[in-house]
Amino acid sequence: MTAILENTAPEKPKSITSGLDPRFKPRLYEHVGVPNSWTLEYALKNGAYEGAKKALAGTPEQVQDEAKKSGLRGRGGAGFPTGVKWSFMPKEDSKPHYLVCNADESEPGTYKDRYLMEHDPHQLIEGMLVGMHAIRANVGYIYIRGEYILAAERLERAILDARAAGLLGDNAMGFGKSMQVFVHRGAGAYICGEETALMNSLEGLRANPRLKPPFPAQAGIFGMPTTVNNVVSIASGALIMRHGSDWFASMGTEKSKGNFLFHISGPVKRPGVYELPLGTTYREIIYTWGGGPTEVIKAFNPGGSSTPMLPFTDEILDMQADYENCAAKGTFLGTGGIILIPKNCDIVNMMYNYVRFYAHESCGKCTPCREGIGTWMVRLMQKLISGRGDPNDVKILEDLFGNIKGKAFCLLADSCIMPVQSAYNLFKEEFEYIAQNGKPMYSGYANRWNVE
Amino acid sequence: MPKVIVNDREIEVANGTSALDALFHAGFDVPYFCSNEYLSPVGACRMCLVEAGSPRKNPDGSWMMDDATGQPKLFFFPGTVASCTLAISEGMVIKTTSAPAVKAQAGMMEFTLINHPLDCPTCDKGGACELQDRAYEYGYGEARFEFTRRHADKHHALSDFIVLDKERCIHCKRCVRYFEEIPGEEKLDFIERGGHTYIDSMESEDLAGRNLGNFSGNIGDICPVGALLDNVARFRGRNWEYDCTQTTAMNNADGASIWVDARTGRIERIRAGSNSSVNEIWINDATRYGHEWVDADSRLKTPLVRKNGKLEPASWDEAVAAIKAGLISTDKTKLGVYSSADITLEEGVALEKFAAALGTINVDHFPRLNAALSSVNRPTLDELARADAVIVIGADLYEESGTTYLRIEEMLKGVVSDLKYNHGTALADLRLKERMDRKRNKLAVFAPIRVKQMEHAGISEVYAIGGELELLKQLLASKSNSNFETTPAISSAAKLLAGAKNAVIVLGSFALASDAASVLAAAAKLGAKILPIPAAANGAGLEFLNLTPGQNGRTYGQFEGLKTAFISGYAADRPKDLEFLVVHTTQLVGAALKADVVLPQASNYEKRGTTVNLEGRFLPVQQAAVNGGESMDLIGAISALADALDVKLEIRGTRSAGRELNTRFGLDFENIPLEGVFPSKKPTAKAAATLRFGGGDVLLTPRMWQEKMLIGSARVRESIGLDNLMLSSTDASKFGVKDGEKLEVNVNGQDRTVIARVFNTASVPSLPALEGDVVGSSAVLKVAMAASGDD
Ligand SMILES: Cc1cc2nc3c(=O)[nH]c(=O)nc-3n(C[C@H](O)[C@H](O)[C@H](O)COP(=O)(O)O)c2cc1C
Ligand code: SF4
Ligand code: SF4
Ligand code: FES
Repeated sequence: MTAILENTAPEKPKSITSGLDPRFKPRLYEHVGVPNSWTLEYALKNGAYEGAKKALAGTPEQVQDEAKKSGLRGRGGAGFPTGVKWSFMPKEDSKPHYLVCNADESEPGTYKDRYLMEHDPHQLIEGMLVGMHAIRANVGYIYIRGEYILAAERLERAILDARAAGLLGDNAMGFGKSMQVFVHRGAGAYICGEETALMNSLEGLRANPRLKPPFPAQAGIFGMPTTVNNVVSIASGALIMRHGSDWFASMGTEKSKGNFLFHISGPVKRPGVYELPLGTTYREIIYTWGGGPTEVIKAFNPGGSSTPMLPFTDEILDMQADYENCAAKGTFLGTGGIILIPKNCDIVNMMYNYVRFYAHESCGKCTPCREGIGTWMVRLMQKLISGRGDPNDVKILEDLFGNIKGKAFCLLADSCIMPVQSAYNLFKEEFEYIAQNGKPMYSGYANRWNVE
Repeated sequence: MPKVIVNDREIEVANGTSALDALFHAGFDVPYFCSNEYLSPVGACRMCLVEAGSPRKNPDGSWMMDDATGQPKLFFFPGTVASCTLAISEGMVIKTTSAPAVKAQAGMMEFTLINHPLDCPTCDKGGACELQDRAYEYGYGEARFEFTRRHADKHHALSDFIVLDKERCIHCKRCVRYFEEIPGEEKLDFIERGGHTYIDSMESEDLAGRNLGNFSGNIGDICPVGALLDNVARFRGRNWEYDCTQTTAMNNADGASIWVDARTGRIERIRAGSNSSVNEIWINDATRYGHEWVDADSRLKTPLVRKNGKLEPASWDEAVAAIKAGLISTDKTKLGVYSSADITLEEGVALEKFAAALGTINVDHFPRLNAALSSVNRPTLDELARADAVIVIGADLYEESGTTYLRIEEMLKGVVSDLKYNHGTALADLRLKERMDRKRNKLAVFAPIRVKQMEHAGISEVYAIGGELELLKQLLASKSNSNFETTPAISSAAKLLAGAKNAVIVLGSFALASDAASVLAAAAKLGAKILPIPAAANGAGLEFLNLTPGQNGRTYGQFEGLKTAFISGYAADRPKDLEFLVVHTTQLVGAALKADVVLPQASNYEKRGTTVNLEGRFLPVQQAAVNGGESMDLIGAISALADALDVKLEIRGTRSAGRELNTRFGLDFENIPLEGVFPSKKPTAKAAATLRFGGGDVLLTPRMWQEKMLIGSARVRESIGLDNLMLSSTDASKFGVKDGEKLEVNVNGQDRTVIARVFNTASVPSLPALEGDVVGSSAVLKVAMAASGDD
C-alpha cells in the first residue's frame, strides 16, 4: 500500500493513517468532555459556524464539489460518498427539499453520534446548514433516537440559541435564506434508522421501510426530494467547510478518507469513542487507544453488531481499518463500533443475544424477517442455549441463513443473519458442541439468560 | 413492446408491466400473496422471488456486450428478487424454475406457514384459499418448525359484518392498503411490530361505534387466507359445496359483477365478481351483505288469495281463477299495469307487450326520471376514471352508486392502468403507491347536504335544496365569463371545467328527482360528458321500451279513474277506489297486505335476463341456485294474468322476450358477455312526466341499503346509520320538529329512525299529515310520522 502511494505520487506528503501521527488532530470530538462545550458561547469561541458561513457564501454545487473532493463517505454504515448523494437531488424544481439527519443510532455497539450531539450540538447544526445548502433545502430534521434524552435536550437548546443568534431562522446568518432545523424524537425502534422507515416515522406513520424506487432524492418525506445523512456525515460536512477538503483528504487511505469515530466495547481496558484517521490499524485502535483486551478475545465485529465478525488474528489486527480492506475480508467498516468477543463467552450464547435483539426490532412488514428471525431463529437459538438442542437444529439454522439472507424487504434481516452466519462459519464447533452436549463449550458468561 | 425471456419462452409485454405479470403472461407461475392488481405493490410477503437479470446500455446507447457470447451482457440481481415490485425492461431474463428460485419460494412458504394455525378444516376460506393452494404447490409438504405457534384472538369482530381471525393473518397488508387506496378511508392498520404484528381498526373499542364504511366487505375477498371472514356467511358451507353463479347486481344501476354462492337453495354468500371496466373487483356492502331477505322466513313463496276478507295461501291455479273472477268484467283499457324498474329488459318487454295486448295505456315503471338518460352524452366508467375534471352535482355517490364513487376515487389518484391480459383481467400498475397524493383539485362536489365525497374534493359547496338549475346556470355563466360573480366554489368549478379536456358531470338523485329533463338540458350546455345516476337498477334500459303511460294514461302513483291494477314490486299502499288489485312481490308488506291476490315474485338472483347499467352497458343477469318456492318472475306473473284474462301473449318466456329484443337492439340476448356490451343500435328512449314530488311528498336522503335488505337481517338493521329526512321549515314548525331531531317513520313497510333536516326553502316537499304515498329518491316510500314533535 505504502509502496504504491510512493510510486505514483512521490512528492505528495504521506497520508495520515495513524492517531499517533503528530499531524493528526481530533476535530469531531475535539470538544467532547470539555465543560460547557455544548453552549453557543463556547462553540462560537471555537470557530463554530465559520464553515456554514463559507458554505452559504458559495453555491450548492461548490459545497457538493468540496464534499466530493474531500472523499467523505457516509458514516451511517453503508459508506456512500456524501457529495455524490447530495448531487442526486433535483436541480431545477419548485418543490421543497429536506435534509434529514439520521440520529437514530440504535445499532448495538454503536454510540459515536450520542456524545457528539450531547457535547457539541452546534457542530451538528452547522453541518445541517452546510448540508441543507448543498441540497437546496430550507428545512432540516434531526431524527433522534428516543432514548437519547440529554442529546435531544441539548440539541433543542442549541437550536433555540442559534435561532436567537440569527444563525438559523428566516434570514440565517444574513444570507437572506430561511434555514430551519427541527428535532424529531423517535419512539424506540431500531428500524427507524433505516432511512425509508425513518421517513415514514417522521411523517407520523408506522415505521415500515418504503419501496425504492422512488428513492428519497426523488420522493422522500411528504413526497418531496429528501437526503438522509448520518450525524457524523453531516458534522464532517461542517468540518470540511471549516478546514477544507484537502485537510480531510490528507487523512486515510486511497478510497477511504478522513477522520473517523472508532468506538470499542467488550472486555477492553478503555472502552470508548476514539477519533482516528481512517487507515489506522485495528491493533492500534484496540491496543494503543483501547488499552488492550482484558480477556482472551476470539473475534470482533468491526462496525456494529450487524457487521460480520472477523477472527482476532495478527493478520486482521494489522489490517488498516477502511472500507476496502473490510470488504475484502467479507465484512464492513460499518459504524466503526468494534465489539470484542471474549473466547470464554460461548458464541452461541452471544449470538442468541444478537438474534433476540433483531427479532425484537423486526418491523413485521416482511415474511422472512418477521417469521424467520422474529419467530423461528430466536426460538431455535433459545432451544440450543437452554440445552435442549440436537444436531438437526444446527442444520436447520444453517438452512435458515440461506432462506432469509437477501430475501427480506430491507437490510435489517440481513443485518441479523450476517453476524450470526459469520459466527457460525468461524466457530461451527461451538454450535455443534452445544447441540450435541446440551451445554456450551465455553461457560464464561453462562447464566446470562433466564431462558425459562 | 419490450421482449422479455421467462425461463425458455420469449414474450412481448408492455412497458410498465411487472416481472410477476410478465411471467404469468408467459404461462409460468410463482406464488404471491401481497400483490394485487388494483393495489400498490409493496413487496411484503416475499413469495414471488425469481432470478432476474437485464442487459445494460453504454452511455452511447449501445448494449454492453458479453465478449464470451457476443450477446448483450446480462446483469443479474444478486440472489433472488421480488418479481411483483420489479418493472420489466427490454431483454430482461426471468427465471422462475431455477434451483435458487425454487428454494427461495419453498423457504418463504415455510416461513409463511410456521405461525399459521392450519385449521383449514374449520376455515371458511378452505378450498378457495390462496395460501392453501400455494402451500400445496410450492411448500415442502413437511413441517420443520417444532415450536408452538402464535396464539391470538380467533374471533375478533372488526365490524358487524367482518370477523378477523388474528392467527390466520399472514400480514400481506392487502386489507390495510385497500382501505387507504380504494375507498380512500383509512380503517385498518398494523398494530405492534415483528412477530407480534396484527391487524386492527382504531375506529372504536366498542363494536357498535365502529364504522368501516360502505365498502368494507371487499377485504374479505382479497384476503389471501381466511383471516377476514364474511360474518353473514360464516360457517354456512364449504367452498366446494357452493353453487357459484356470476351475475350482475340489481340493487342499483352500477352493473357490478357479483358471484352468488348458494347452497341447498339458499344464498349464503355474495362476493364481488371481476369486471375490469365496471366495478373492477369491488362492490359495496349492501350489494354483498344485503341478501338475507331472499331466504327470510317472511319471503312469499306461494300465491295468496283473499277469502272472506283474509289473504290465504293458494296455488297458482287458484290465483289465476281468483284473478279471472276479479277482472273478467273489467274494462281492460282501464286496467293499470305497473312494475318497479329493477326488472330485466326481458321482463320489461313482456310487460310492454302485455299492456299492448290489453290495449291499456296505463303502464309505467317506477321509480324513474322524467327524462331519458340516453339523451345526454354519457361517459363510460373507464372514461370517468380517466377524466381530468369531475363535477358531482346533487348526489351522494357514496350511497347512491358505489361504483361511480370508487371510480372517482381512482380518478383522484391519477393512475389508471391500460394494461390488461388478453382475457380482460387487469395487470398490476407499478405506478400505484401507498398513500398517493390525490388530485383533489380535479373534483368538485355540490350537494344540498354535506356528503362523504366532499371530504375528498378540492372544491365543494352545500347549496340550497332544489337549487340545481340555478347552480348549473351559474356554472355556465362563470365558465364563459371568469368575472361572473358567484360563489368561490362555483367559480373554481367553472375554471376547472374550462381548463379540462375530458370533463365529466355526475348528476345524482337530489338533482334529478324533480325535473331531470331541465337539469339534463342545462348540464348538457357545459360541454362535458354527463353521467346521470338512474333512479333504479334498470332505469337506463327500461327507458328504451314502451313502459310509460300514453296520452292521458295514468302514471304510477296517479291512479285516479282506474278500476283495477296489477303492480309488480313494492307498493306502499292500495290505491284508493280500486275494485281489484293484484300485487306481485317478495314480501307481504305495504299494498300487498291490502291486495286481492298476491303473486310471489322471484328475486333478481332467481332469473335470467339482461339489465342496463348507468353507462348504458348491457349486462347479463344469471339465475343462481336459489329456491324461491313457487315464485315467478314478471314474465311468469304476466302469463298467469294473460291466462286469467284470455289474452294471447307473444312473449311467454325469457327466450321469446330475447328474440324480440334482438331485433330492437341488434344484440344476441342469449349471449350477452359477462363484461357487458354496448348495442350497435338503440331505439329512441321514452320519457314521460313523472309526479315524483306532488303534494305530500317527502324526501329521504339516498342510502345504499334498501328497505327490503333490512328484512331478515338484524345485522343490517343494527349497522345502518340514521338517514336524513328533509323537510321544509314550514312543516318543521307545523309539526314542532327541530333540526337534528330523531323521528320514527315507516318506510316501505319498515320502521326506521331518521334525523330531521330542516331546510329553509320552498323546494322541500311538504310532509303529509300522518300518512301518504310518495315516490322518493330510490323507491316508493310510505311515510307515517309517528310521535312527530310529541316529545
Ligand atoms: C436496519 C437499519 C438500521 C439503520 N440504522 C441507522 C442508524 O441508526 N443511523 C444511521 O445513520 N444510519 C442507519 N442506517 C443506515 C441508513 O439507512 C442510511 O443508509 C444512512 O442514514 C445514510 O446516511 P449516510 O449516507 O450519511 O451514511 C440503518 C440501516 C438499516 C438497514
Ligand atoms: S426485513 Fe422486513 S420485517 Fe424486517 S425490518 Fe426490514 S422490512 Fe421489516
Ligand atoms: S387480514 Fe388478510 S388481507 Fe389483511 S394483512 Fe392479514 S392476510 Fe392480508
Ligand atoms: S407478491 Fe408479495 S413480495 Fe411479491
